[in-house]
Amino acid sequence: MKSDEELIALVNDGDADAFEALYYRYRDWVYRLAWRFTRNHADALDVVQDTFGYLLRKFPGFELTASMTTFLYPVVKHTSFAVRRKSRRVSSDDEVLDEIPAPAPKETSRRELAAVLGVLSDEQREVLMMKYLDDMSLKEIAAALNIPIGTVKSRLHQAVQRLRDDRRTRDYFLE
Amino acid sequence: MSDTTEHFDDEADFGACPKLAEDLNALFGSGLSVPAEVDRAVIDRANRHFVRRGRRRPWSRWAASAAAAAAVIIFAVVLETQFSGPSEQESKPDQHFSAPLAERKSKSDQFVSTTLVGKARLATDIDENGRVDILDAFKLARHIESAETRQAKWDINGDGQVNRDDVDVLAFAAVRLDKGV
Repeated sequence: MKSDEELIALVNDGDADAFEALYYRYRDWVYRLAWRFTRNHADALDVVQDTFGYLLRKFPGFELTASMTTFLYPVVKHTSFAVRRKSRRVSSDDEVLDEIPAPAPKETSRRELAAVLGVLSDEQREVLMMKYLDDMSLKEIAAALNIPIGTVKSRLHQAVQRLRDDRRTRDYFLE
Repeated sequence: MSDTTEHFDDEADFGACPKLAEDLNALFGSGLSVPAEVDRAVIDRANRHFVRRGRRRPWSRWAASAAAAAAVIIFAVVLETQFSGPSEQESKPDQHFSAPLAERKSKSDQFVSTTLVGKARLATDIDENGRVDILDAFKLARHIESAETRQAKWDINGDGQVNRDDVDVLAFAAVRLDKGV
């Protein structure tokens, strides 16, 4: 399987198949992230198209200086907020990250996790999600959010500490 | 950074059991996927993007050929102006040329006289606007590149094929005609 860098080199040479390979590699990741920001299927699909349209316009001449997820994360985030602003499907302009979803009553552990996440700040919750849900490294998170890595560590530490201190979520961190 | 943060310097310090990712995914995942129509829309857009860009390259080659032809003609005209006297030019126009230059001019004149006169000249008026100019060369290049219908009358150099060579000849001749030669 070709690496991202190899695919990008091919796309820079006008290879549409290589772009298609990149699309399928990151499509679901982009969609999941977009859905998280928009909480709406149609909006998330708009974000997917806009994000890859943005990426497409970077060719030829695109240079990947970090990982693809680091490049895509801010694009998806900003595009999601732009789509939400335009869309009438969302009634409130409140940050979507504040909207912790309500899980089904039987899913006790998830409900409790949601409750604990609800007390985290937006910044703490965002780095927590990037680390454990998007599987990004600290370095990638720092680059994607354009903040120092020390700030990422600090926010993540505070978030993890909060989950460890709470009896409802401490099991996630037991060895 | 706080003192406690300094204990979390490595990725490993933030280790958690896989169930955390699983539960986060359940909480923040939509459970839906990207439909095939969206895939098609993105990929079609990419294909159009690369086809457009791919067509530009040969187009720029024609432009480069035309520019080169124009440069040659301008150079020839400058030389002609430098080496000719007004009275001689009127009476015996070709006598003042050195042998190679005269030879080149003769070849060019031969092309103009045999190809770009009368009916043949109409054949090179690709855009049918009544005059043969560099736009005809561009238009012919576009026709050839897009693999649309090729008309036999566009075989400008008479080699039995309609291809880039005809564009080059037309571009050269068009620039020469524009200069009033």
